[in-house]
Amino acid sequence: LADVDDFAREALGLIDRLYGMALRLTRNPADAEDLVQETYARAFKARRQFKAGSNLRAWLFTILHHQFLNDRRREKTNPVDVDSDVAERAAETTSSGEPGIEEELLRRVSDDEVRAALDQVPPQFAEAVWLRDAEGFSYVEIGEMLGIPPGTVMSRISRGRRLLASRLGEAQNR
Amino acid sequence: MNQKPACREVEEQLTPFVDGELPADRAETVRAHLAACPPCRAAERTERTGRKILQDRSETICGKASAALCAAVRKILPERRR
Repeated sequence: LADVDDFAREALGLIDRLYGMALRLTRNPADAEDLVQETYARAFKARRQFKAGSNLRAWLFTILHHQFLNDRRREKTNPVDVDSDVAERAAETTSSGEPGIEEELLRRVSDDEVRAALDQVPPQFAEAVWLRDAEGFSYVEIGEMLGIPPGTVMSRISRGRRLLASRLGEAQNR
Repeated sequence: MNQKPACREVEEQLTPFVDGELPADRAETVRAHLAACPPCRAAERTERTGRKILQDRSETICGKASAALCAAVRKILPERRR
């Protein structure tokens, strides 16, 4: 059973990372904690399916993603339609392009403002950006986790970053 | 949004460009266009801003899993043989 112990120890070591992703998806600590617990419960139950030597972090993030979708379906909350006109139009909003404004913004913006701006980005976009920029996964890895082609991953990242930057810009200009 | 076809093409490639995921020849084409096109440079800065903010702040904006959560997960760990 030594391998099971190693697996559990390694999985537990990733709890902060899973909690970070869960918080971005659920947008509140209580739901994020539930999601992380459910993710571990499923992962431990399915641990025989994990291929030794493959990426445990990617495997756990995949489980978390599916668990989140399941929870939403069960609660009958409408998942945000990523292809809706609203999301499309919102994604086209870009910042003013004034020279230097972005660099200045990065210095001035507070953690609370970043959190608030990120919470205004539709979850599908925020998730893709988070997996790339906070977790450093490749387009291909993200595509496998979310079950979407790399081209879609790229466009979600692109929209997510633009939305985030424009929400931050708006927050700074208020 | 930029309307010129060349700008549209560059805009579509900005994400892999800033991520260093474009093949060298295509990256060079994008770089040359950016050097000559202020609106596309603005779009590139926006892309880099969105990217950098999470690279820099992801850990501080999330905090860590609470002690209660860690304890709850430890309770469901697979049984160990001691």
